[in-house]
Amino acid sequence: MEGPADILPSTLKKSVVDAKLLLVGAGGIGCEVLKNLVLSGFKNIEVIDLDTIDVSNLNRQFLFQRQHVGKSKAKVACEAALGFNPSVTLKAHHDSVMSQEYGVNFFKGFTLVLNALDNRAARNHVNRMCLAAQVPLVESGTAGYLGQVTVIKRGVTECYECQPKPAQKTFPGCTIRNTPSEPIHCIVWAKHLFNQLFGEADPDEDVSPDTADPELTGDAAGSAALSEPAREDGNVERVSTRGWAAQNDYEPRKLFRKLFNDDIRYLLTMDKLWQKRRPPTPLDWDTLPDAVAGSSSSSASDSSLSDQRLWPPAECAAVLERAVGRLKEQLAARPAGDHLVWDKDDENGMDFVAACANLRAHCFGIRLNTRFTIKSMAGNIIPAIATTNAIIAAMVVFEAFKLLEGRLDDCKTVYLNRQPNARKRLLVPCVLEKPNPKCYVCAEKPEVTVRLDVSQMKLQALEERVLKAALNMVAPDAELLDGRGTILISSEEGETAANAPRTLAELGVRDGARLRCDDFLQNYELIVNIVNSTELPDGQEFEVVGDASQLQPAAPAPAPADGEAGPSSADAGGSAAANGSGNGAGKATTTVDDDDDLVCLSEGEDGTGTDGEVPTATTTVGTPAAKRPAQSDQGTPPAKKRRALSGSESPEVIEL
Amino acid sequence: MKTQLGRMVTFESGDITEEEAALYDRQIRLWGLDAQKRLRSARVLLIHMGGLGAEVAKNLILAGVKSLTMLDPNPVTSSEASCQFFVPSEQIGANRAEVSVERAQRLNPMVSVTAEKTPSTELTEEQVARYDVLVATGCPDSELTRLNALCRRRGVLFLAGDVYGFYGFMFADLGRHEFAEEVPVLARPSGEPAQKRPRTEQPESRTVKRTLQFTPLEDALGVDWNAEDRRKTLRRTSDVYFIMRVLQAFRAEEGRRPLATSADTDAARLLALRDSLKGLPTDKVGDAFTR
Repeated sequence: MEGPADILPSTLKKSVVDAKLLLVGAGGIGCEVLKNLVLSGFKNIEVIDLDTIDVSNLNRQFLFQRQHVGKSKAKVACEAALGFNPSVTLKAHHDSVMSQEYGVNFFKGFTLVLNALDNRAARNHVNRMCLAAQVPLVESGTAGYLGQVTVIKRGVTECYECQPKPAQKTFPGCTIRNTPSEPIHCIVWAKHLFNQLFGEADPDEDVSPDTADPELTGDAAGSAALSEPAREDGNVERVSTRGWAAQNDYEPRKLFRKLFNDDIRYLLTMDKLWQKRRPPTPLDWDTLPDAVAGSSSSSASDSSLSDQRLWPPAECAAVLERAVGRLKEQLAARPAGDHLVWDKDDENGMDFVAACANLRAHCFGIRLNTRFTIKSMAGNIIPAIATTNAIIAAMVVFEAFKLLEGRLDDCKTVYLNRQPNARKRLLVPCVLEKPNPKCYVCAEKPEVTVRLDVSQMKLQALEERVLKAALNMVAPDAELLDGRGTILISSEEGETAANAPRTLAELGVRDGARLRCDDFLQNYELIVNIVNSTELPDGQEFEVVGDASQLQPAAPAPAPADGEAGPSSADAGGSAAANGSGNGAGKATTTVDDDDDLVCLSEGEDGTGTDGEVPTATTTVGTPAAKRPAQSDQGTPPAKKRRALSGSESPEVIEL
Repeated sequence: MKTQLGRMVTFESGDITEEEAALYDRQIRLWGLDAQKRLRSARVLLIHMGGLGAEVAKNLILAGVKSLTMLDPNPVTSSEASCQFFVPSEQIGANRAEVSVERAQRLNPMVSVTAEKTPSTELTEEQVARYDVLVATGCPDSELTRLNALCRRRGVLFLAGDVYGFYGFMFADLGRHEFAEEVPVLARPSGEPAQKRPRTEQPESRTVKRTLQFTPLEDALGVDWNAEDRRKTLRRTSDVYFIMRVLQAFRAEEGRRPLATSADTDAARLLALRDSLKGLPTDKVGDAFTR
């Protein structure tokens, strides 16, 4: 076996030795990339990751071991990599790459930046930093057996935000509160319930019956429902869920009675909802079934793991009782006014959500799920294995080599597929796309159009939900281009605080207004064109439209965060199930939280066109989804093809 | 992982424990509990601990096989110390497999990791039969063919691979391989109106049994590319297949891979080998691969 010194051409070898790299993320892909870099002869690498090590990382993040659980990923990864080659210079930052410390000048200090991230917000941010610093970026992601690598260079290729990404799936509030029909609706409800009882209560996450359900408007709305004093936001006037629970000392049976009996009976009075639906059944604590009706034996087979067993409703109630007791203690142990934060890896919080989701599903005649499955859905877990990460990490370094040799023209977007495509390729290289001239990030003078109701939206919501959450700014300034340069938002502490609770209309923002928004950290200036709209679909608070020409009536409604919601087809290697982070009022949300998810860019296959099919948007909801080349053999049994091959006894060489 | 040729990798010692479920959570969510149980009962023999061997060992140990035996008679060389990540840099001269055990074992205490110094050429059929899977790296074609035949006779799954700079290959002979595949099923037609159907249905998919018949390496290498009925296959066959044949031949003769440091003389030797290999369609292998 030969070392890298014997394999790399001498010019490349010199570039490798001289290069200074930034590796963003020391998780599944990051560990593999760092190993490859050190073994390839790179001498100067900085690694940044804000995360700490968890047991569930150890099946693939091979630089970490059990004794490292709880420690900084960046630090432990660098220490381990030094063991491969003590002569390299590694610097670890246990920090968020979005922190103010890492400005454009920091990024300018690197020859290349390699992303090994697990979330879209950080990818967007690093994308902007690299565009501003004019440093080439190698972007990568994996999900299960699938993976992707691409190269981003300002002015030459598409940037990470040139193409709208399918929005993370959200659900209308009334589906969650009144008429769930899928397990995910019950799971989202249960997470909201957790926040109402123990977490940071969000008015958009109400769990009680919603009398403002659009289905109820009109004469035939449930008479009983209307006889209750309802506030204009549709919530029956009463003490908060938290207050009610505290008054009742979080007594599990009282909670159960309210949630799964009283509230369900109340829903039944809204008879219009049940004309075409199966009405829910109120539950009684003492008469819950202790066997699962029609449970499939497969899920119950591995009965030694509680996670894998389907809990009958009576067991759900018992788990709920135990979890509420413990969560109450956890909450009491906090300072007054503080709250708990739901985490899929917290035993009690997860038990609570699994039990409540299943009890609600039982009310509504929706199939129950194991705690294992509910955890996937509630935590947006993306499955991950070492092998996929290793393959993608190798491709990351190959692209880095090409960049160092100045061969940007040869750089590719590479997709790793689950099965070889029609041309027997498992790894499919595609040409890099040109920048989108209308991209609201990398265009010369970026502009974006936002539809919202100026008389409803407060300036604070514009800052938090539009500029920060949807448009991914970190610390924006905003100026109204009204000829006077009115400053609406200043990133200086307190300067414009008085504006925060005022509506945009009160501040002089009208239909057609232009706002100059600027993020100093990202060195990013964006003109936001306001289109006043009182009628947004699904009760959304606002809508970001990349380009105003998309505002034609026939155009499909773009989704709030990043663009169009793609059709959700689940082949993307994921059991990772529905839900994601959204932003409109009354929308059910959860956030993506796991390693190594999939990046998304579009492609055209290697100059020869795709396999005659339109690329399909494959969405693992909750993760940034990917557009992949449509595999013409995806729907057909692969065995058939391969059998034909082996029949002719030709060697099975799959070109990578 | 079933083969008709011999044993199937079977379940052993009951259920996955809570500890295993926590460690393997992200992969169980990908391939399921049954696959994890099969992995846990798999005994793997890995031949040669170069850079590729180390990668294979890492991924198998992380995945959670029952045991991994790393077999290698060779000592660590200086260049290896910088590219095989299980080898501590100060261990030049020690046996490659033996010095890899400690760091390999750290990746997963639940896997039994051992080393053997026997040359693979001395492996007997009985020794091979102690494993469920054999992975051969760094072997010449003749040795790969021999090992493949031993595996076939005893129903041991055979995998092989190698790398040469930016080129590489992998080969699999799983014999007659039966496996289950989940395929989506279109929604079943139902007489009932949609809203009346119970909302308990799973997204439909069903598991179907599939079979693949693998070709042994000897047949894969022995294809007569000049035969009339091969023309079409030839056109569709990757150049890399032929380039790998030349590179394998180079190492079998020279005892080393071609190097950037001796690029000129090595290139001449590679071209001579290309032209001497019987039946190799030379138009599939241009001169460029020698760089």
